[in-house]
Amino acid sequence: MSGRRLPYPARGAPVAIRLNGRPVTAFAGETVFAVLCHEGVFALRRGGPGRPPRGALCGMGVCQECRVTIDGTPDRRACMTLVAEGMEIETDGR
Amino acid sequence: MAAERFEIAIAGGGPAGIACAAVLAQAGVPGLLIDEHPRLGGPGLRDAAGAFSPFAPAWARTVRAIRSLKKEALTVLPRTGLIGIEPGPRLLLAPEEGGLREIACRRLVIATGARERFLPFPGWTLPGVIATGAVQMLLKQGILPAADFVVGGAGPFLLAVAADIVRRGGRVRALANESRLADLLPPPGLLAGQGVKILDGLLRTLRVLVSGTRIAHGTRLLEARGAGRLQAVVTARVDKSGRHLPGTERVVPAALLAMGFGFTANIEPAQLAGCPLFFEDTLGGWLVQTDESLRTGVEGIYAAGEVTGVGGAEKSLLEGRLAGLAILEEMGRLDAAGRGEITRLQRKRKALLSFGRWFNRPSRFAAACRTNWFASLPDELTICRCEEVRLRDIRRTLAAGCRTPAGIKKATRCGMGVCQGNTCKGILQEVVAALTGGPPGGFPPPSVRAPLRPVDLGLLGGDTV
Ligand SMILES: Cc1cc2nc3c(=O)[nH]c(=O)nc-3n(C[C@H](O)[C@H](O)[C@H](O)COP(=O)(O)OP(=O)(O)OC[C@H]3O[C@@H](n4cnc5c(N)ncnc54)[C@H](O)[C@@H]3O)c2cc1C
Ligand code: FES
Repeated sequence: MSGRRLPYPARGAPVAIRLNGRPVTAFAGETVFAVLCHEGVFALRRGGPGRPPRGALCGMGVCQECRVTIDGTPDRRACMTLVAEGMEIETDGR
Repeated sequence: MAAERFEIAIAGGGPAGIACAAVLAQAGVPGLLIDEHPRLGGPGLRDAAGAFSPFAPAWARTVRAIRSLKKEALTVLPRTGLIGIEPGPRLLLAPEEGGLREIACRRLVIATGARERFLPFPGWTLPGVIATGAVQMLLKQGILPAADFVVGGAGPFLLAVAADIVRRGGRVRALANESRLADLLPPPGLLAGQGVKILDGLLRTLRVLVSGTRIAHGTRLLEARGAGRLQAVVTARVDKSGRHLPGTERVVPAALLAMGFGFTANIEPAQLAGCPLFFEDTLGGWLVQTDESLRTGVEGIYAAGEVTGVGGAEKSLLEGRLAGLAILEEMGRLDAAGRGEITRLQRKRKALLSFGRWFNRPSRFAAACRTNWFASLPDELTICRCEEVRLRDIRRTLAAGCRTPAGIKKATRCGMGVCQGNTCKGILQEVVAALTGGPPGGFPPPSVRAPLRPVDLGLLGGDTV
């Protein structure tokens, strides 16, 4: 874990999700990208030749660098998806 | 696929789209508001639940506008990407949950906002190098993504982000701004009546300085280093001609680099619709051409907000309202007071455009400066992150006599990947301009094609929905 949750008036209820098989508590209203940052998971997928690790860049839906597998569906943008109870997130950058 | 009909469709649920929707909904005009994100507000606002700076009244007004929307008879489609526009206008929409939707409308307002502008440097593809805007959005969601940061790039936004990181308990080990201090200071004309913004800027500077952050201007992000993820950032001073000064390199350890070089407009939907564009570097690059009432060159299509010039939330709110009023006027549904407001808004818009020019100018560099800068970048530098096109490939194609961004795109696949070139097509234009000695707006805007977002291509074939 490298990130920290700060006092935040609008934080939602806790939701239980799994990140690469590991149980993680997130909060309703958080984007998947925010939860990945909180958990210190920055390498999300592998790039082209040499398969270098890649992570989210723009945070606003444009760059497509934050694609992860969510509930079995590949290539979902972490920055455009809110967490939900029971969500399973898989990254490929490990 | 049968198209659903709406009197008015608004693409983009940021301040501009919301302000426009609020005007129309209050007048009882049935409209549709589309945004690809789950939450309204645009990237600058959607995560900022309640916690507004008293210095940002535009934010508070957008929130009020969002709340007022809920009471009106307006259809809001979040999590829905606009991926194509055909004459009519007819819109092709891609809901996040899959499938396609087609909308026919009498009038369309394009308010798709802006994205952050990036310039490449060695290591910019490392995980842990993220946009300044992304860091700010995380902070607004109440998450501090790391303990140690470097903030770098160009323009006035860097200081705002550094101040937010410090305020929320992070450490900014260095702020490296390629812009020079003199270019960042607002001209006196702009300061009149902006006392609150000036005070805000001074307080932010003070906060960053007091935290012990080194603020360096005329300083470049030379390299991001790390094994598998960012571990350190190398910065160096640059001279006025854009050459970095050997011996001034500093290696700064950090877990995250918040990086950005200003903003550039999301003009692609307007391009698809055939709207004429213009180029003004200090308003954000390629932009949608409009008249004073924000009508584009295509009948029935309006543009509002950052797409007409990158100028901040205040300008977007104003333009959203202006577009809404102009539409009501065309429909014969505006009284004298409304017409008076149109005139007032048109006048105020000019002042906000001047603010925009000040905001963008420090992140746009003189031709000679860019030439020296890009000439110094190494061959292995990745330009297109999706297709892994290197600077070497571009130099070779140039040397082979292909000297336009469009030609180089075809020859190298630069900008033909999954992000549709949204990250690198601006970079390619700048690199080619710099290496051939031309102006950045000297080439036609990069071409676009539907779908604007990756969708299952099978869906585009026929009657799949
Ligand atoms: C992190 C951040 C912080 C900021 N802080 C400030 C500040 O303190 N003060 C200030 O004045 N300005 C600030 N800004 C700038 C401010 O956000 C913008 O000036 C303003 O929001 C622009 O409003 P807009 O409606 O024109 O566009 P945007 O707010 O960019 O909204 C555009 C919307 O269109 C949507 N969209 C784009 N393309 C598509 C598509 N193809 N399909 C569907 N939807 C699409 C996007 O999801 C987005 O929600 C900030 C910006 C960012 C990113
Ligand atoms: S981080 Fe760029 S699309 Fe998600």
